Amino acid sequence: MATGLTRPLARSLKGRMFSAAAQAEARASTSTDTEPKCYIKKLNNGMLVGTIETASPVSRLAVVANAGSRFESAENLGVAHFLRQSARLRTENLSQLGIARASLQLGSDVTCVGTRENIYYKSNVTRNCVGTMVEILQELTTRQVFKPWEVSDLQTSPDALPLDLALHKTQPFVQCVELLHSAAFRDTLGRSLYAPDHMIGKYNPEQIAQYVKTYFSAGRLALVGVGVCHEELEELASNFEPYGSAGVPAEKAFYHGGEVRENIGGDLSYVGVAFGGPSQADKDLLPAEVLKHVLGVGPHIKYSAGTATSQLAKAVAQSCDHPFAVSCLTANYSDGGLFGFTAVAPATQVEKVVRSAATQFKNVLTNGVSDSDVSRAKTQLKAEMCMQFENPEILLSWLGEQTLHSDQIITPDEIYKLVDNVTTADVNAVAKKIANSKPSMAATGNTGNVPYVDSILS
Amino acid sequence: MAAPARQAAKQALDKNSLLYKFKKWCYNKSYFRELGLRRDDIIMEGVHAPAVKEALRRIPKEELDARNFRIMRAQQHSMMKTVLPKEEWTQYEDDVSYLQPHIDEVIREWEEKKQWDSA
Repeated sequence: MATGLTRPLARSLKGRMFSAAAQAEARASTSTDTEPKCYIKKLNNGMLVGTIETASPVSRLAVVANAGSRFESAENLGVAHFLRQSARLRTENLSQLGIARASLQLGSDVTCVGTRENIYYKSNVTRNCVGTMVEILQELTTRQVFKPWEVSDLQTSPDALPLDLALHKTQPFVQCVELLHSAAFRDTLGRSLYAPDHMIGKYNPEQIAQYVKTYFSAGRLALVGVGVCHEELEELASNFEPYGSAGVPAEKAFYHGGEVRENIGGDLSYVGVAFGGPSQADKDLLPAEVLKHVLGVGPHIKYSAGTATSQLAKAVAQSCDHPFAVSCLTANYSDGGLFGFTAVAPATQVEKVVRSAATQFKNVLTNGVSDSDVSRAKTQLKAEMCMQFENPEILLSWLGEQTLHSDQIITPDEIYKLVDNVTTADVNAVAKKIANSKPSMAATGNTGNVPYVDSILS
Repeated sequence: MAAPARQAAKQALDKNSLLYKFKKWCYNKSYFRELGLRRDDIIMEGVHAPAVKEALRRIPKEELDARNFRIMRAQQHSMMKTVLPKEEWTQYEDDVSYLQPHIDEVIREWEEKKQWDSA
């Protein structure tokens, strides 16, 4: 039986012979056989399969559905949050206990993660258990049964949906970012990841089943894996039966700009300011990320002020000496994005902090950046990417996004090369483009002293 | 007595067969139908009483309300030592089993838990 190390080598040989079948280009085999290889395939039953083959003894699997919170309507707000919780509910062939115990017996468990665009059902298993685990994931995503008492139990039980919402209330920063999206995009990408309080108790099985049948359908469901053999995954994916697609009209996200604030009191103020940023498909994506590192993403050394590398922090430190946290924020989705900054400060200082940060932000965007800034930022960006991709969960999420929304998969190595190609002119062009869009702002915590967006960015 | 056999007979419900007529005759001899009750209303299930409690939590609200009404009406009649007028007695065809499937499901879930815990 081929060991983990020799298997990628055998894969690359087979890839050259399977010319007609594989849609991905056959890669020239490189000097080492431990370099990861990516494959993507769209199957006839509507499933998408994406793989990054590595020599890892642990396989990271996920079933990704293009069913995130952006697809909610005003009538079923929070149904994506509910679906995240309902990953524990029974399916056609497995009871609640069966799902938990079966995955525990394989040495694994199932995690359900939701973003604005996708819902991921993730699991990490050793390579020999991949088949069984994928069957469990298949049950969870294509054979759900929403029984009325289970649905109402999830909404009343203190360790299900109410717990999530109680935790959410303890995190004003997360609330601030949610409000920022809502101010910027209104519906679609503006829909919150968290269910509103008034919907607890109102979810019923028909509504949820309707949502699932529409969005977990052929063409929107992908089986992805890191550290697993591509043919094995393809074969497992061909057993899936995604719901027949009803052909949902794709609602494009549109950046509006606006201002929302929610005063919940407390000592701190949490403020987010953003402009319309590049989407994931936009070629301005990487220059914008470089610009983000020029502006600064918080301290790189623990407990330092972070003023050495962050333009925003430098400006704010000159105007106020109380503790503050200022960081550039980017969010990129398949057809829209945000580029801005967040600021957290004591309520008495927040006006100074926000004004100086906003002025500096606008200055950098309109006046451009220097070559030395850009080269430093590129190094920092690559370092951050390297460190993030060391985390297999992030790699898996990234692979899921690529499989669902694009025709080919690029490896982390290729992305580093693309970052090297970013020039100062690119970055300055992106900065000017971003500065021309309408600003959005959100504030939570103690918003008494937070200035309004038209007074800080005129 | 009649419940499991009746489920099986539903698959091939031949109203003129001798077996069906015999079952109907046995059913018509019972007392609970004269009080307007259905077979599932009188399930006590001594050792499985918690299963009945859990199953009652699962049935739809309309079914639960109808069951409670039938039971209260039957208790009233029983206290007064009367029965309903003959037109209102439960008919064999109307006596659909609404609770027993849920009880079976609950017991199956408990058995599954016992199996997982013992292995």
